[in-house]
Amino acid sequence: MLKLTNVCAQYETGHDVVRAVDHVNLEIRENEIMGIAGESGCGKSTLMKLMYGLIEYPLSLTDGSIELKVAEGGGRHGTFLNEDIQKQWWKGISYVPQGAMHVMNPVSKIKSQFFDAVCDKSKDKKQLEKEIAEYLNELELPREVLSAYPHQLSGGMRQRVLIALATFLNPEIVFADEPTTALDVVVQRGILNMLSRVHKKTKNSMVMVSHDMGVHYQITDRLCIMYAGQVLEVGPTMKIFENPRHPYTQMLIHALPRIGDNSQKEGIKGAPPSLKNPPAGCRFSPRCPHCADECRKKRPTETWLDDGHMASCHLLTGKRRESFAEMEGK
Amino acid sequence: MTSSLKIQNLNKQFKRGGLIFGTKITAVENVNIELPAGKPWIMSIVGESGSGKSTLAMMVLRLIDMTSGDIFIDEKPLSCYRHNKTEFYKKVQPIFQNPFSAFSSRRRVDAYLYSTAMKLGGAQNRTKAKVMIEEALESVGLDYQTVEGKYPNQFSGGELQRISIARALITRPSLIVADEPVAMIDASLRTNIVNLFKKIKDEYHVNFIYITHDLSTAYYVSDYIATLYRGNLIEFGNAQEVLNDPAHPYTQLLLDSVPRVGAKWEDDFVLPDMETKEYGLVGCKFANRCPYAKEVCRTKRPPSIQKSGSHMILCFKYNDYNEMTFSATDGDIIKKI
Repeated sequence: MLKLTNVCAQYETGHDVVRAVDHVNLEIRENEIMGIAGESGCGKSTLMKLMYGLIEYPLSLTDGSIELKVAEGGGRHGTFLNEDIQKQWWKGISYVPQGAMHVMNPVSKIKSQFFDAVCDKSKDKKQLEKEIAEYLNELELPREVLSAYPHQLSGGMRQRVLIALATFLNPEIVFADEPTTALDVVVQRGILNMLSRVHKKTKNSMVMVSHDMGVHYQITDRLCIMYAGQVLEVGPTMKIFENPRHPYTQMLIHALPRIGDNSQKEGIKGAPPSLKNPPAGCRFSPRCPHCADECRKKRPTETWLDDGHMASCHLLTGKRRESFAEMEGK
Repeated sequence: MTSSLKIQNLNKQFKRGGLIFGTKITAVENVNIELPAGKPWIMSIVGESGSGKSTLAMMVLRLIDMTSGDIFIDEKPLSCYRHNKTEFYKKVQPIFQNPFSAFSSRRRVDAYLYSTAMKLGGAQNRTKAKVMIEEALESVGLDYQTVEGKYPNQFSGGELQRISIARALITRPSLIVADEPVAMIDASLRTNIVNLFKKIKDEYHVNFIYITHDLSTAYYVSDYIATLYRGNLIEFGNAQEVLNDPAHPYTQLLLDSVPRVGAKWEDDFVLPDMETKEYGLVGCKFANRCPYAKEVCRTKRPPSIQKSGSHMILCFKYNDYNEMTFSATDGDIIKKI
């Protein structure tokens, strides 16, 4: 559906450039929920912007291409490249932004924000309002929200309205950028449940960015781990949680405290590298416990393991492979 | 028993609206907590947004006034610090959620450290202050050279949060109130900060009030846990005990809602349309969402029941929905009403 080939993008900051996304290959298939995990500043929101076709100064695409294939009505399929993806906004591709608190227009009612997005001149407004109310009802939102202003709704409610707005025209891909950050756990559960219900009903694809590994475990089908602008590991979510191959993923999964587990946890030492001047070779090497000379000098290649599981790490290729497998066994 | 922190019948009401038609919202209602002195502890306060956890913290920090009740720190009521702010901030120190807004971006970070050391830490001159600062920075894993002369934007979030922890340590406080200290920090660095709290607790013999909505770090780090719901302390006790065997339906709901690795949610879950009217309910505030609610829950304030040891629950369910028996402190209040 959406294919990223060797995508590199950078931000220009006046005196230097920040390479936020570096040689990313990724594919989003039909009817799947793809999760993107990584810490802040690893380029996951930039990647999202690129996939959404929102390539504007200071962001620019320096290499590679983004290709979107969607149905255009009448059984025809259209292919859109890079910035042209914008033509499919709302209908073919839509976006649930991060901060539900401040993305809606504070001085217009939810109703008119729906009208703005739909922008279908052929339909009567009353008819359209009825359709919207029905759709909200399906998602178990009360009809009254339509005549409310954004500030009258709670954070969780606003986020649910945004999801309803993004999925109203039944787009083929929905992007959700940290849809549950800053919400508490009970509301988070409600929203994740709503997203997966929408997904089950419409069979669309969904891309979900979050830094919470628990969230990914709960709802995603495939998972992509990003670090410092690069994709370190991609694969089916269950496979990644059962058998993470990249040291970063392993640490990310095992370093977090869990309820019912009393063992002492160690965080990952050090901090993520600056993207202005990233380390040569593997970008995780300064923090990696298995780091060797090779890691500091050469960028690891993408190694495809079984069943669509990819990791890019020197430990999976060449001589060190056997010794690492042995160590893991212990 | 001497106590290091005692919160007694604490209430806080906020006024909303005008003079005549305004309504009152009870943000914190009848909270009683007592924690023993001696061994340092970390107490987590968990709850959803709007549960009053930050209001409670602000009252402990004397940033807002309480409506009624009292707070004692090391057996001394907060009211006796009314004219002595310096003395109070020597004892109690805050750590805030967002380190970038806690420090002004136009002031060097070490200026904060120096002014804390000179005004509150009792250092007579800058040389003595520097020794104190170096020591505090060392215990959070930073050295003075990396901090000296830099502005907040030159640090990462994790580093800056560690500096704000170091700043709180300079005065050798007996209580640190940390309001969502890891919410802005990356997942991979969160464990480091939380580990730091554990280390400091033992090294400096300092107690922590750790406010969070992240139950997994609360479980990992804390000795006691308090669950708040709409201003009511609905469950309190030893952290491991409470989270391994939650008794109140709300704590159970919270715990079930944590997205865990290893156990997928099965049932369909629909959010209730909760709005602020819950604050005004007479009986149990959770009654509308509670699967076990009976008539009595909606009309009477639930009693606080001691389950075992320090484990306390505010729920009718553990009393066979009998409204007659109350524990000592709660009963008194009801008689007065």
